[in-house]
Amino acid sequence: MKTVVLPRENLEPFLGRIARGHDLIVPKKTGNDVVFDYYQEGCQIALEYRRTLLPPKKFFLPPEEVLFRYKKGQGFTEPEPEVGRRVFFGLHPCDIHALKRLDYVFLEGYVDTYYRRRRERTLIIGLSCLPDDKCFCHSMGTDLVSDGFDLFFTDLGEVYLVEVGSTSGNDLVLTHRDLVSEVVDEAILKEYKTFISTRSDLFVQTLDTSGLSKILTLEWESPFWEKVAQDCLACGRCSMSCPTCYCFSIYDQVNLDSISGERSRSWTSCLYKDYALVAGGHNFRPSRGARLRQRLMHKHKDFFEQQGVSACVGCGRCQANCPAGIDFCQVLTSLRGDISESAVG
Amino acid sequence: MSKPRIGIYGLTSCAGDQLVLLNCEDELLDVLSAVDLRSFVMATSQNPEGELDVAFVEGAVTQDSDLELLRDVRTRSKLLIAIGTCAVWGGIPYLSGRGVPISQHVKVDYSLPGCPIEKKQLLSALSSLIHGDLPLKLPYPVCLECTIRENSCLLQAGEICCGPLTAGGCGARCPSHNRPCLGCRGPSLDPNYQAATKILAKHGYDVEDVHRKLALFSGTNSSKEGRQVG
Repeated sequence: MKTVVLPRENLEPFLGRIARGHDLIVPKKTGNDVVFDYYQEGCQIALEYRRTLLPPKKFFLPPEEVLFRYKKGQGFTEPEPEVGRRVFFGLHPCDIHALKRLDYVFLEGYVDTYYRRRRERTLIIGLSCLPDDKCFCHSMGTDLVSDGFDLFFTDLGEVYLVEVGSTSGNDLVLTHRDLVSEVVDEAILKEYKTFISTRSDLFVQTLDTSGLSKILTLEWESPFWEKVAQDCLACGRCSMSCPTCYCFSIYDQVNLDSISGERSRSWTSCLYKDYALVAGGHNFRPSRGARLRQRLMHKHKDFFEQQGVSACVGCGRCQANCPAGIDFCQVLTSLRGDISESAVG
Repeated sequence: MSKPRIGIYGLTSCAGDQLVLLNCEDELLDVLSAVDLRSFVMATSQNPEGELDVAFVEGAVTQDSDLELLRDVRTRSKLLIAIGTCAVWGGIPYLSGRGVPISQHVKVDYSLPGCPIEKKQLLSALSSLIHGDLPLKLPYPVCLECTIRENSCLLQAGEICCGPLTAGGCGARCPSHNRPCLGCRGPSLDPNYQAATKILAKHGYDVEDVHRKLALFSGTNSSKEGRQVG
């Protein structure tokens, strides 16, 4: 893989130039928070952020979108697809892995054209990070990333080490070759090694994933699920903020004229009571415990069995954002019997 | 297809939900041309009444005249839709100890909560009804829209925010202005009062204060479930 070096002071010009030819998305500071948003001149880019509330998925699977409009006698019309190249800067390794998980869902087998269009028009520039006490990507094997990006920036203080991951990424580097250096010297290599080992020492949160999918299968009937669910508000904040939760509802809305309308989809959560409700009034998961179990089962068992990797990328958003303070790592660890069940909640 | 015959009525309430319809200025002509308006006392003095396809009823039942009107409307209507939190849950009149939701007296076919109701949901409900469908239900709590707007969680920050217990559809208007949700849309499909009370107790709130706050709009529901904790 080609690797180049971008001096720190050249990052802003580099992004500024990219913004002239692309829609640039960056981690942006807004008050005390950092959100992924479109770059505007003078906006504050967060280069050392921990995690955003909403993950990158909002730019590929928007919270709400119209799939098509219809009118009697005129058939169906899809909304004009968004056009133009986007560059999404600042994704941490976990979020890049998460996009790869979403690709399994939306691009393998049945292709979701809405997702594909947005994915195809977006270049990914990753950015290294340091963990806080909620990150457990090292347990999920998602702390480093070797593909799924066009460029990946590792912050080494004075410089960024830039890995080139695709020909499009290489084009970006070549277009702005005056800002980068192709010389990766011994000192930079040493810095990189130090960064990797320092970072891996910083993790606090861990999750033992060995045999987890099997343990979950065996614990299907456990009363533990209902116990944890007593504390769960079923607010859906964990699902919305999860970079790999992709469930949506589809609904039709007719207009006042009764001959036209639209079909839309919007995010939903398997924690909501109507999620497994079917025609005739039967609910496959009537209890909150059954729904909480579903969320963890799909994340750590079903997806794993289908794709060979867990859908969880260890970003820590679910725990960081749960108003009830439910820590899914602790829930799963508890289920393994490694810690006392009373330690949860 | 003949136009559906519609009636709009108010019981004990502030009339704010009926006003939402009058405030649909851009759509009002389309609405009026799509329906046969048989009664809307707040808007017109020409009210032929008679049989109705859909009646919209705002307000709680607090007095004999409310009940009389409600029963009469129910008898004449194929569908009866409760509009606004007072009609759906008892709302503010419930606090007086006399107001009850209309479902305690008659069958309600669909509920549109809100204080007041949201214009977008009213119009989409009207469109569905004109087309001959029951409107969609919004099954999620306020937190869905709040999270999508990337608001910091006020409950996590230690405020008494009723968002997780409250029916969504308002776009998380209050939390988006950094004000905790008061629960004005009434309970969500699956409110976990016990969990919310436990969280707030951890933040140092008195359980009674929490109950008072939660009961402000959710009437019958919060007193039934919320009081189990304590």
